Amino acid sequence: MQIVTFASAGGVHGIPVLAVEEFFRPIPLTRVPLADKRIAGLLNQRGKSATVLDLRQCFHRPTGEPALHPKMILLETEDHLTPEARSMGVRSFADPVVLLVDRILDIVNIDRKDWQPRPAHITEQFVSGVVRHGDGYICLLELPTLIDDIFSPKA
Amino acid sequence: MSTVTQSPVAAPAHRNGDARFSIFSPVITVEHREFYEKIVSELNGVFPICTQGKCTAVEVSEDATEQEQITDLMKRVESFSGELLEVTKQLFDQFYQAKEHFCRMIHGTTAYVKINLMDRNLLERTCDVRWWALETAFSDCIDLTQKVHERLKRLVPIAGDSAGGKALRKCLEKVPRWEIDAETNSQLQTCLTGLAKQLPESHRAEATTLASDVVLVLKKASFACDRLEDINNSYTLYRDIVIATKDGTIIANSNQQTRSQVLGLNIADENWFQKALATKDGTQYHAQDLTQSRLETDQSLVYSAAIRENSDNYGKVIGAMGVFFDFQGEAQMILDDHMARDTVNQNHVDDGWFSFLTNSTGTVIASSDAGIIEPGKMPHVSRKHRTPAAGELPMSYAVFEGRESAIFSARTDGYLDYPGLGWSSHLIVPKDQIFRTATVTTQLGISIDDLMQSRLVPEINKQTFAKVQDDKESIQLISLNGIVFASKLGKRGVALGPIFDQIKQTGEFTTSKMEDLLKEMAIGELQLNLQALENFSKQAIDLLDRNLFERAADIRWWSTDQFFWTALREPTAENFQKAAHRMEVINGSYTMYRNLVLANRNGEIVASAKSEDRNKLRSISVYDDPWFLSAMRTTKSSEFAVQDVQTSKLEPRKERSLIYSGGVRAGGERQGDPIGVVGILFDWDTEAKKILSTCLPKNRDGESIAGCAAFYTNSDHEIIETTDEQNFPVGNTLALPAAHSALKAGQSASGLFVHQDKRYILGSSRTKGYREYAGLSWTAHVVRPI
Repeated sequence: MQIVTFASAGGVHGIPVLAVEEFFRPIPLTRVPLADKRIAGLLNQRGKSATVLDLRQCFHRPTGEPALHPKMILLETEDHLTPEARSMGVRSFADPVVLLVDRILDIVNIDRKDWQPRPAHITEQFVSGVVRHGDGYICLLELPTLIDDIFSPKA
Repeated sequence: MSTVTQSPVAAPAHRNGDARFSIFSPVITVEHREFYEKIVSELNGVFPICTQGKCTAVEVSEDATEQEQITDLMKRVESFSGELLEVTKQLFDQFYQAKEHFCRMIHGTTAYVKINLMDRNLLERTCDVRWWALETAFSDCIDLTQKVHERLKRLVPIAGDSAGGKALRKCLEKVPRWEIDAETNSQLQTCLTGLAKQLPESHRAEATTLASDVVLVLKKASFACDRLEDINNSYTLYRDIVIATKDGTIIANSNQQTRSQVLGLNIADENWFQKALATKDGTQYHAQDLTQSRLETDQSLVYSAAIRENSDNYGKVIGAMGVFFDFQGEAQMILDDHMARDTVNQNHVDDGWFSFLTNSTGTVIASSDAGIIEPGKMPHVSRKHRTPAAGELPMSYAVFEGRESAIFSARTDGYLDYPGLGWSSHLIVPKDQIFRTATVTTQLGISIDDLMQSRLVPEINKQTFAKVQDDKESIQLISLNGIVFASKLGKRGVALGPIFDQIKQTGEFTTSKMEDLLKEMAIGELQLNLQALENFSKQAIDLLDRNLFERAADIRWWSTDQFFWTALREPTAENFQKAAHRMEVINGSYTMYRNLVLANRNGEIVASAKSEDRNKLRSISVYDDPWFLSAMRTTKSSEFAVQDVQTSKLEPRKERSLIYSGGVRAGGERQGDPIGVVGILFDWDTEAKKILSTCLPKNRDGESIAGCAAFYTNSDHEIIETTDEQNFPVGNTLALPAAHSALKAGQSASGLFVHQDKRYILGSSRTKGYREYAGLSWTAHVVRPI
């Protein structure tokens, strides 16, 4: 399975390529007053309005400094996922969402059987597992969990 | 002999700012050409890939929007590749222009420093001759010689054709002449004594007195020689100093080795002598450009001044003094400096490096390699180099001795009120030295990213760096989006995958290569900056050493002054007054001294140059002062004493004094125990600040760079003078990097330096002294913030 890796909050994270619609440089945002601090604002990309999540803010203990030139990842909406994606269990969200990350790193192929469950020291529920790659680990993010937690938090 | 042709390939790129280097220019290193070719071929490889991508788009999809999306991505890749090609070319331009600029600065400055050092030295020389010509020993000697001459002339017809008269005429015509030769002199004396008996009563007395006077002439001449020797022992940069009578006969000289040949020579037709006789008063002198003189085999650089009756500034001209500067020796010293050395034999200048001086007509007068650039001939360089206009610093490329070289020239602009003789200094450096790849031989001590952000890297390079990184990101985003797009096409997109992979790889390869080049540029910039600072610090210590050498010469000469030993031997109020007046006169001309003092053997100040301080100084005892004690311990007049700068009770209001002292000996003897001490108080802070301020680095537009400072430290690394009282105050002891604190005499170092949490680059040079002046173990430092 192809996943795209990116850096955020001092760690390396990955999501399936098929869940991505486009990568781009930050464009001007409209701030949303009184919103969750994880929501950086709203933007309009190619006529579609999308909510921008600042991934850094989603982690409990981010390290390092936010990047000088961050990048944005526009996620595919649930209804636009290809049949192939659905068959592989890739899931997304109904409304357009953008992830604000420090850097896009690479696209890598990983084997499903190399996935390991989330280690105990990672408390973030949206990390579904880790996979060894090169010298380090990639945290695999479960997008619906992450987004649900912000849009409809449980209590 | 050398052959030079103007290089047809490399046009001088400095003429206008936007001149560009071609990748085909021979100065571009092999590594860089290879590198450039790789980038170009990689980028050029992108275009067919894009075309292939556009075709594949039609194959894999029938949907017009999808096709358009792919075609759009390909077009963007093409446009970025084109941009990167352009940036690569610009980068090389910047790279080579920066190197060229720096080398122009470093070597052009070196060429200028060489002629400037010469000018500064020659200015000091103009002071010397005027002073010395006013010594009474010389005017007395000439005066007496001439009077005795006239009397002898009157005596000849009186003596007539008698046997005595014939003998007298024979004696007077005999060579070596009676004025200078003891044997002839005694013959003349015998002859006169004999003649006295034969002459009529009325002339007998005259002949008798003449017999004793001719001996006196010889004595005076020998005393004049002694005095000249004293002077030459103090000022060792002269080959000879001579005194000539008005008719051009040399009657005294300072060089014992050549004395037997020189004395008695007639130089009435030599220009320096005629010009000296023509001076209007004692303030005038003549500087004779290199010419052939009967006195020497080498070309001579002569300073001359008239000797006047009673040593009075406005007295009648009765003779001339000529001082023969050791030009060849001095020039060799200056020319051999600042040259790359053979790594094996440090005594050998590296191949391809030449340095030489030309006179106002463009003829070589001194050369670092007389076998290739022959003195007396025209150098084989282009016309604009041979006789550049005043203040011009031409630079050009040419093939010299079969090697692509860069030639730097600088014409004298004089120094202070000394106009110079229109000479120029030239430096030839192999071209590959200028454009060689910067190799990191030592640990830089700074991370490359810090360096890229530092003030050393010019703004334009930072902008290029940012642009390259930006393009790198753009290409990455395009190819990533392409891969995402292809993956969504499923099986149909498989054909597109490798295309985007290739684009991604090319983008990463070229941009990372370009980043490497930019980093290499930054390192090169750092190294050239370090070299420039090293050169500045060397200049600062050299100028100081040369200045202090003059002080060491002054003190040795003044210690033998007749007024001073007379006052100490016969301590009367009148003699003290005379000594004080003499000091005042000296201080009036030598304004680099704050005061001159004379102390007797008990350490009491008996005379000083500044009348307002005289009463205050009289009550001071300097018996325990190091300058007094060490001068009292000297045993020869060629010795002197000097200490590190320190507080002195002679100048209670000054924080630091630099005192030179010498022993005064009765009768101006050369050896023996001193009967007192002359101390001269150098105006250290003013003079040192003056030198330091000329040794601060400048930016490309010739403006001074904020935050730069220059300072001297003593052997305890304590700052003794500075241009920056705020950050590097006097009295501050510095924790210098090991390489800088452990310098040996004549060595230089450069590197990073952290002071008060600020980062600097630092160049340091430790004194190597100048001629017999060993220096005071001081070090000059120049810092630039980064």
